[in-house]
Amino acid sequence: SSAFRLHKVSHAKQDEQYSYNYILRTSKKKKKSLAKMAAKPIASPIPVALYPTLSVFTLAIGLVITAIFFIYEATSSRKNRSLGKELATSAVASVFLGFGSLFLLLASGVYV
Amino acid sequence: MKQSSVVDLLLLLLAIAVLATPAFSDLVLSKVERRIDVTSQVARVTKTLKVLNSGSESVSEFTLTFPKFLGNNLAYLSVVHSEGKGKSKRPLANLSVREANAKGLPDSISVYSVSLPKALSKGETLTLEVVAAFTNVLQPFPEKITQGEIHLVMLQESAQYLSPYAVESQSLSIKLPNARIESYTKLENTKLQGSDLKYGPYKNLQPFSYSPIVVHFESKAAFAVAEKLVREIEVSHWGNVQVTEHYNVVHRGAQLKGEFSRLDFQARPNPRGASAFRHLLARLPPRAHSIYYRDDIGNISTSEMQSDSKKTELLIEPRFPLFGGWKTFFTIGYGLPLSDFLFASEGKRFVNISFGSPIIDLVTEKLIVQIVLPEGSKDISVTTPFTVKQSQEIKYSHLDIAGRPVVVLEKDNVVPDHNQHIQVYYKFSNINLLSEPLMLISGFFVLFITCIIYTRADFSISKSSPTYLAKLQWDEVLATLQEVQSIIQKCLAAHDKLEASLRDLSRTGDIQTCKAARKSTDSLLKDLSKDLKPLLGFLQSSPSASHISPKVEELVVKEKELQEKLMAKHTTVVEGYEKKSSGRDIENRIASQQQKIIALRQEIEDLLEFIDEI
Repeated sequence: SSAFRLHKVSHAKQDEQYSYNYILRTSKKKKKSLAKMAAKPIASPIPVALYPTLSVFTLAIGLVITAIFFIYEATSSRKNRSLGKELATSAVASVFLGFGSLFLLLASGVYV
Repeated sequence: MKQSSVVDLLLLLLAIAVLATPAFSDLVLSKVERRIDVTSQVARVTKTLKVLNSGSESVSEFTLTFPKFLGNNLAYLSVVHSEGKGKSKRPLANLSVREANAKGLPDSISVYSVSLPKALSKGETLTLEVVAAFTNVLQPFPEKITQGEIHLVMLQESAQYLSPYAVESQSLSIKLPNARIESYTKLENTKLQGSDLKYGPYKNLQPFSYSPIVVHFESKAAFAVAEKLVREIEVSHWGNVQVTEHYNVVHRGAQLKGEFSRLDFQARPNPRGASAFRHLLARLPPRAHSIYYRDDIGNISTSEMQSDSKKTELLIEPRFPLFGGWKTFFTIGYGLPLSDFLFASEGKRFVNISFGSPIIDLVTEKLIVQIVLPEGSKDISVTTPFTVKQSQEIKYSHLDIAGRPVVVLEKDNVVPDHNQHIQVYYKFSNINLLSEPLMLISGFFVLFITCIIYTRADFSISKSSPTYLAKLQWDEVLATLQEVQSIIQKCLAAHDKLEASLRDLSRTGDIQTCKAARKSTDSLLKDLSKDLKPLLGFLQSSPSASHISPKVEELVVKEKELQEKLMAKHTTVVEGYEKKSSGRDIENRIASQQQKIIALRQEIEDLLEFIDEI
């Protein structure tokens, strides 16, 4: 029961054999010509299997730094706030959150 | 009158022969073997031609002719030059074929011209294999049938090969499906063996000889034709090629007349509905994932998938069986891994992907392939093994600034023989990949900047109202409190350093460093208390801090006490070491002080917590 029943399409089997013989023939040639050109396959810069892990970690770090930023905003008084510290924290947090959301999109199948 | 018309016909044929001979008489086809396969809805003709140059000049072009009704329906034509016989046949090169003008030939013939690899000189032979696929030549006859009738189709062909050259010996074999054969034209040398119909061999025929034959037989093939197929192939350099195909499938066999009875269709043991088809089998590349099959209503669950390392087979069943003239529409989508289809060569990248529909045995009347390349791709060019109509568009998709370039390829009358690979070349540098995360990063950064501006901006309407002023004062009090807190923390840190120096002393016995540590801590604490004074003064003077300032003063006083006690303890311990009295002695002396120190420390920490909570 593992294979689905191909009775209805079995009459087309010979025909597909026929057409696929020709396709096989041409594709073998193409394979040879591809090897001649030394075409190497291109993959994504980061292995696709890593996307979920990366997204979890970068988002977690990004959210932690966002929390630090907001705690600083809440506890410091107006006079004592330092713009440099705020900008630095927000820059680092936005980098991590940006990459985290990108990997989240990629891991869920939206290949942007 | 009859005689003159016969004479006219003969004269016409002679005229054709005379006019045609100077152009075509040099080549002679020594052997022609034709095989026509009509087991599917597409008629495939394979011809093996042995060409002999019996003239004196070398010839570099070969002319193929088809009767017009076949030529109009010609979907695929390929000519291969091969060597060897039988099992050792080796196909060499695909030769270029182009449609040629019928110079001096009657209009009812389509002409194709094949350029030979090298000029055929006098006396040489060449073997050519021609594959031609025709759509719409298997005409359903009768054209309208009821549900219970079988599907009969008719093929019109010529038993003698229509060619502008003389043929020495030829044979024709038609492979019919393993079903009922209604009738066929009986000429001389006609044999029916099982489901193979053989005509020939015929010897020594004139050029342009033609003897029409008609074969009427039952076809069990599914006459599935896609009126329009839009294939969208989206390439993402993050690791995925997403293919989405929108089908409009119609059954182009004999039309159904009368009504459709589901009961008869599903009756056992004799179901009625041999002309309908239920399933379509799609052969997808291996490692296809996230396959979906849906239409405008929603997901269609009648599908099965089986995958192995060479292919992924998807058997789909539309919502209803398709009888003649019935239509259905659906969408198939799947994702493919990028490294199977994207390659780099000579500084450019190319996508190597199949052109036609993955559904086997599907004829497409209008095929539109849209290949969406990532943003920032330049120098786009397409290589196809057959002619297509090309154009370019722009598509705006996720995280796009300027849009993605789309190569649109259109072709009419596509048969499964066209399902070969095409290549799309383009240039792309990986830096452009960074633009997407940069866009997200800048989005988040803008959010943070907004927060910063919001906390810093002053949104009060009136700048002199009592509440506003009170708020300003309270802000100042808070700031001062924080500074006081930080100074007290520094003092406590200094105390900790003193304790640490005492521990070092007990470990190493070095009195000098201990004394030095005490001196430095002393000066540090003096500085800190100086800093503390103006802050205290401010807190005492401001009215809104009236409930806090006593606590702060208490804190400062306690801290001073602690300082003094610690200093005293330190001095005692150092003296004890100088006098070289035993450890227990020292401990006894400082016992009471130690307790007070601990108590004071606790109180200070409580007060600090209280200030923190304000």
